[in-house]
This record gives sequence, structure tokens and C-alpha cells, in this order.
Amino acid sequence: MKNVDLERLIRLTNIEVESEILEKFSESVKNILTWTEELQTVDTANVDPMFSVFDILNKGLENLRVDEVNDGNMREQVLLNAPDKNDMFICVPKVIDQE
Amino acid sequence: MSLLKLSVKEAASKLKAKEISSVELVKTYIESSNKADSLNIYITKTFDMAMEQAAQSDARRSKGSALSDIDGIPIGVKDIFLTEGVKTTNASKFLENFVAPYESTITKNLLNAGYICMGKLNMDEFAMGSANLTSHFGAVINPWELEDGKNRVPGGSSGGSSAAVAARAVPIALGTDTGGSIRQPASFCGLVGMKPTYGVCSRYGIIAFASSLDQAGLLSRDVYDNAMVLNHMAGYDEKDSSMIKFNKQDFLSKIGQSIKGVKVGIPKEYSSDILSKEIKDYWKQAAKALESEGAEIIDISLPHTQYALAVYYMVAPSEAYSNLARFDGIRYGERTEGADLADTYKKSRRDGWGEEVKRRILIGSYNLMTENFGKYVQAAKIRRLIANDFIEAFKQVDVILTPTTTSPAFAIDEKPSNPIEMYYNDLFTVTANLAGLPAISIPVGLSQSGLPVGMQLIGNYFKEADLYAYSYTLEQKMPFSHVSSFVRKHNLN
Repeated sequence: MKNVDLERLIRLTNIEVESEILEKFSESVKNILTWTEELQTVDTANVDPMFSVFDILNKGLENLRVDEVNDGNMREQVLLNAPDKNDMFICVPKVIDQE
Repeated sequence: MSLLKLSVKEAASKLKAKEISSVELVKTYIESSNKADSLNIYITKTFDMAMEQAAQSDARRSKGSALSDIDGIPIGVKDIFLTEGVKTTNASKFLENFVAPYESTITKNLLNAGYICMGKLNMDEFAMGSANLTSHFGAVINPWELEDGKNRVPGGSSGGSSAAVAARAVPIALGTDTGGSIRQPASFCGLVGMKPTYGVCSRYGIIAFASSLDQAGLLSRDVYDNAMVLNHMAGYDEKDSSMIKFNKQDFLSKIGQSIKGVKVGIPKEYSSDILSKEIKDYWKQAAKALESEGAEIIDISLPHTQYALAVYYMVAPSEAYSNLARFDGIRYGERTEGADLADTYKKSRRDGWGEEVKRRILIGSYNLMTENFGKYVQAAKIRRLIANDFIEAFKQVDVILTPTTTSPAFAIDEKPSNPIEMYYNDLFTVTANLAGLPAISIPVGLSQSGLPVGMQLIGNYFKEADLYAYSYTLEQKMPFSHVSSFVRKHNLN
């Protein structure tokens, strides 16, 4: 784990990670490093990365529907699952200290 | 108890002929579901709703206005599908009290066909696992018990679905498959499990794990039932932005057709060292069975197979890392109050998830760190090489035959101590997800110890109807007439 900036890694997860999970994770990382090393040996010159199956099916990204945001018009239903709410607002711990 | 013996096809035809009612059928399955409590199949039972739906179905039928051929058929739903007004937990503490505000497209399509929702089935937490040991609600027990009395795993992540069908708590169940989560549990429980082509079933309302791999499908007792119900799930849905427009096929249309002249590929790379001899023998037997029906067996090569698992564990946790960023304890889900907002996020995410989910988020976070990004892209390039292997192979053959798993179900206390070893359960199944291909697992017999063994058929893109036809032939040639020890013990036969 010497090569891994653990502190930054954990910050990126936004999880307060317990020490025993971190220990087990360090073990996992060793395996993953071995795997990724193996992947580096494969010749991928002139190969495009594949992030989805679309281009293979000749239905390139231009065939996707327009990505338009809408609110789903279900405010009440959404609020039902809020852990803390006040009227039609979701409450969160104070973000800005007032003078 | 004879109603429990009926396949979906048989039950549907008796409903149509008004020999049985949906209320009778559902009542019988409620009884058998309650008998299966010891297997920990359900997270939420929706039996009252099921009885109401059944009564409505019977009323429709008496008026001659049945919605479809599966109107009145009870189905178990993996707890990853949102079901409006019903708790949807994803087997996680994080969503322990989450009531879905809308219906997933798949369950909505089934509602429109008149299905009866029996309840929400247990699974691995956030679909991350191959043994159903990571659920916040406890492990699911495989209904196949041996004389050693040990509890075996039902496979995962759709382990509640596989156990439920194998214990006859439901006649058929919904699952999802990101790296083998339908096919592997189907194989461990003696069932048919189908993962369709990526984009055949809408992902809208399925809690995302790895979006470029996730696909819904079914675990059933036989091939026909699987195709029959998938007919009511598939279809273009603009709510899933990654949906692929394709001509709707009738998945039943080719069942029973001759497979004479069909070319079946046997990939040499799947003859792994960790594959047990008895599964190898079944593999040969399955090839012979297809050959005896006129299929041509052809040795093929999928040269990049050895990298599939490594690629999968670069791609899937990275996508999960991104998808799970939305779980922060603010808008929904369990919240642990912290000193401030940032601390609230961290503590909610600490308390909301179990170890495996956190491990995968950590792996994803590691994969996506700036200094590792080149490695991630390299994995994505090899993903294309894996897909290209299949594209090349399908110029030569119509379908590919492999084992589904390297061994039958293992005992819960024999699970690998190293979590990464557990990932080898997905060795033969992840390739179809990476390439986006349809694949099905069919039970072909029992191991010497008496546990089910499954074979996998991988088809070309959108060739589900053909895949069902080949599977049906294999099913006819190698009929799997065994039922789980749980079914025998409780006379559910």
C-alpha cells in the first residue's frame, strides 16, 4: 500500500471508513494491482476503449434520446423519503456559520 | 399442493380455461412462501396486495378481459426493482425504510400484463456479491440441502430469487445480472436464468450498480416460462436513456424448432484449471446432446477471456463508485447526523453500507484516481477486445456453450476467506456482461454430491429467441427433473 495515497483515496469516497475495512481493502488492492499489471501487458494499440455497447450495435450515441432534465413532477412522493424535512423542504445540518 | 407443480405455462392455460383462479394460485404460493421462512427469501412480503391483485385478475378474466397470457400469475421481485408504495431496500441498511416513489418500467410492464407481485426478494446488498452473504437482512439459504446438513449458498446477487423459485415459494422470479447475478444463482439452484442483450429491458427504476453492465431478466423452472414472461418485460422505454431501439421479438417464436445445422462453439479458454472434472464432463455431454439433434460442434477461441475478470473489477466498481455517490443521507435513505454537513455525508455512508459495498467503492475510487486513469482506459480497451473476440466467433458459430460456474454451490462456512477469491464465481459469466451479449444458464444434471450443475449458452446480440430455442432443445435432451430437498421435505411436489 506504500504507493497508494490512502488519505486522498478515502476522501474521494466520502465515507468514514472503519480501520478493519481499510485493512481488508489493502489486501484487495494487492490482488487488484496484480490484475492491472497483467492488463498492462496486453497490446491495445489502435483499440478504442469500450465504455458501452452502443457503438458495437451501430447505434452510436447520436441515436440516444435527448437528455432533458425534468423534475418528474412528484415532489410529495420524493419528500416522503427525506430523513428530515420541514414543510416542503429537506433539512440538512447547518452549512454556513452566522455571525 | 398440486398447484405448485404447475409451470407458468400450465398455470396460465388453466387460468385461461377457468379451471383454477388466480386467488387459489396466489393463496397456495402464500402458504408455500410462509413455509420457506427459514430460507430468508423475502425482505418484504406483499401478500395482502397480492390477494387483491389476484381478485382483480379473476374479475377481469370472468369478464373476458384478461390483460395477457400471464394475467394472474404470481411473480417474486428482487428488491432492487422500485415498486411504487412498497419498500425497496436493495438489501441495504441505507434503504431499510425507503418506500419507492415510482414503479420501475419492468414491474410496470408486468403490472400492465396483470402479474401478481408476491413480494420483494432478498439479494446481496446493492447486488454486490455472488453468494447472497452480503445482505443487510441476512444470508439466504439454498433449498438444496445435502446429507451433511450444511447450509449452502443460493448464489448471488439474485439469491432470494433463485432460492424462492427452487423452494416453490414463487413460480418465477425477477433478477438482475451485472456480472452473472442471474445465471450463477440459477445454476446453483437448478433453474433456468436468462440475461438478455444489454438494452432489451429498461433499467428505469432498477437501482443502478454498474450502468453499462446491468440488465434485468428472469429465473424460472424451465425455458418456456422464462421466454413467456420476458415477452412482457422487454421493449423500448425512453425513460432509460441508454435503451436501444430494436424490433420487438416474440421470445417464444422459435421454441421447438429444429437445431439441425446450428453451429455451436466450444471456447477452449473456458477449460480452466479450476473447473471441476464433473462439470467438464457435463459440458461434453451437453455438446453431445446438441450434436445428436443435428448441431455442429466447433472448437473456437476467445483469446482475451483470461483478462475478463480483471477488466470487470476495473469497470464495475468504478461505475458503482460513481452511481453510489448519490447516497448521502440527505434526500432519502438513512442519515447519521454528523458535526456538519460533510461529516453527515461521511457518517451516513459509513453506517448505511456493509463491508462489501464499501470495499467496491474503495476499489472504484482507487481505479479512478488521476494516476490510475490510464489503467482504467486500458481495461476499457481490453473490454473491446473481449467483445471483438465474440464478434469474430459469431462469424463462425451461432451460439457458444460453456459451463456457468466452475463448481456447484458451496457451503456458507466454506466461503473463500479472501473476498477477491469470491469474485472467481463470476469467471464464466462476466464476459457476456462486458460484451453486452444475451446468455442463459440451463440446469443439466446433479453433481456427485447431489447439487445442480448449469450450462451456459451465449448468443449473438438480440438473438434471445434463438437462444431460447437452443436451450429448449438442450432441456429436452438433458431433462432436469430433480426438485430441491426443501421441496421434497415439505411435500411441495
